[in-house]
Amino acid sequence: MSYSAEISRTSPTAFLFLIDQSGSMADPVGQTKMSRAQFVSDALNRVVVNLIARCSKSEGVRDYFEIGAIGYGGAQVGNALKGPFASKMFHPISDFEKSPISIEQRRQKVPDGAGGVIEQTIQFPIWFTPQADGGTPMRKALRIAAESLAVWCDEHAESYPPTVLHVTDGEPSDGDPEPVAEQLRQIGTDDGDILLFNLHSGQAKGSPLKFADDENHVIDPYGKSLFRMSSELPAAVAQAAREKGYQVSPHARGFFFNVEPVEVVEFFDIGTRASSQSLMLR
Amino acid sequence: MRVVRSLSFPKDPDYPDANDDFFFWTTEGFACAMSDGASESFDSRTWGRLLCQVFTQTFSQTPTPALNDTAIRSIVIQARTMFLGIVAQRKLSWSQQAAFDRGNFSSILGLVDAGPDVLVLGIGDTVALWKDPRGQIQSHVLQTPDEFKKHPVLLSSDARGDSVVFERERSRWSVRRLPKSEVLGQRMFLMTDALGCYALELAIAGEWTQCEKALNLPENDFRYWITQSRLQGKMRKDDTTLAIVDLG
Repeated sequence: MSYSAEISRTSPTAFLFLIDQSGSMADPVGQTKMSRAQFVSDALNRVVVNLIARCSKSEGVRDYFEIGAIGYGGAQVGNALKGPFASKMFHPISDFEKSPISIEQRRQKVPDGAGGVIEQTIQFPIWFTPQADGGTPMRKALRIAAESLAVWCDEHAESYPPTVLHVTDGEPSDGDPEPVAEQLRQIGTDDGDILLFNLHSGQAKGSPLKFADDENHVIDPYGKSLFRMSSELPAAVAQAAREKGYQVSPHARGFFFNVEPVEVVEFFDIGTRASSQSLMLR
Repeated sequence: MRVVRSLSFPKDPDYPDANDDFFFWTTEGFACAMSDGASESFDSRTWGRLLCQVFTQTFSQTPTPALNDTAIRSIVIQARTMFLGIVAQRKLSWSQQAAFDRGNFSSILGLVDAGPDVLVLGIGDTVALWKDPRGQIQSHVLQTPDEFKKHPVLLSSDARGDSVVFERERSRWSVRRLPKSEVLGQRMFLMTDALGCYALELAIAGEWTQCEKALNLPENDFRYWITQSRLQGKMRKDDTTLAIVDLG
């Protein structure tokens, strides 16, 4: 259980995004006109772009990663991707490069290299669109995730294990998800168990928490449950978090609680860095 | 000074062309350079190749080469201009553009015959190993296996990365000047990171003699040694390049 398997085209790893699409995700964020669902959707599309960029070489995209997304809200629980991605849960990263649903033109502020900032137009591909409706069937979503991941792990026994990045804004409406999460985390490859990282964005009791290492630091009872559902960070992802300025103890977990929706970007970025050492970024 | 051997093996035998290492030398005067492009780069091999070529062509034609900050910046700027010219001729897809915008990163290890001295430039985790007059193994610029675990400082095709590199001279990279009188009859081993780290581990463990023997094995035997070392988990699986330079 070393989380050190080499990630290559013959031995890829997987990222599964588990996204709360319940009705409350439609609530606007702060003073913005954007909903939580829109924030999460943008963050997810952005992390896919970043993963593609990490795999893109002059001769094409190397399939180091497979990606899937499960959405859950109301009666809808299942593959959150549409079109060519609807037929199965996991797809090689090169398929995403080939088939965005659309490509939007967006404005982005970037450093000008002289201490200032300039605005430039960038192409922003879309694969995932925001949805928000009904209750929060988290337990069912975790079960579907576990079933899909068990198949993936059987087929990729030597791979770096999959990472599940779960984003939610509320408590489950279909029962206790902890036992299912525990089962999910017991599935794995020869290199380690599946990693389950959880982010909660909402208005619960207590201060925001990031990479907590002790359940006693979590005041909210549901937060405690989500903490227990979260995997400890392997060394490489802990290092990635430290490099971004977070204080991360040796037993810190992939757990953000009561944070602003904008934190989803960091959560996804660090969560998908779990593989950097294995990928031999140098 | 002359190159007596240079070999390179890709990390994945199934993809022999996907080797981001590069080694280049010129016998006119003498200069050589080795680069190791970062895996997560759009075209780090071309970037590394241009750095090596500009380095060797510049310093092999300079009677008394000065490997200082100004000279190194000039090499990087020349290589960058050439690199951007090559990329400008390609039509990039949105994903290639995104990858290119992240920057292309490469190490460089350069060796120059500077008359009475040998100059060794080390930026990144490509290392040179040699024996000092006391018979101790020296290395440049990284000196312990642990240093390979840190993210190396690499040269970027994006000029905005220059400040990160050049402000860290001496702390993370430097030029080493070796009087030829101290290395007479010695050989210098230039290695990209996976092999360099393993060779340093062996040297520290007192097994340099075995290591040197392996580095001089016939090509097929050397390839077998690399493969076995990778399989046994002794050497990281990565593109692996070795050059041996006779210091005269």
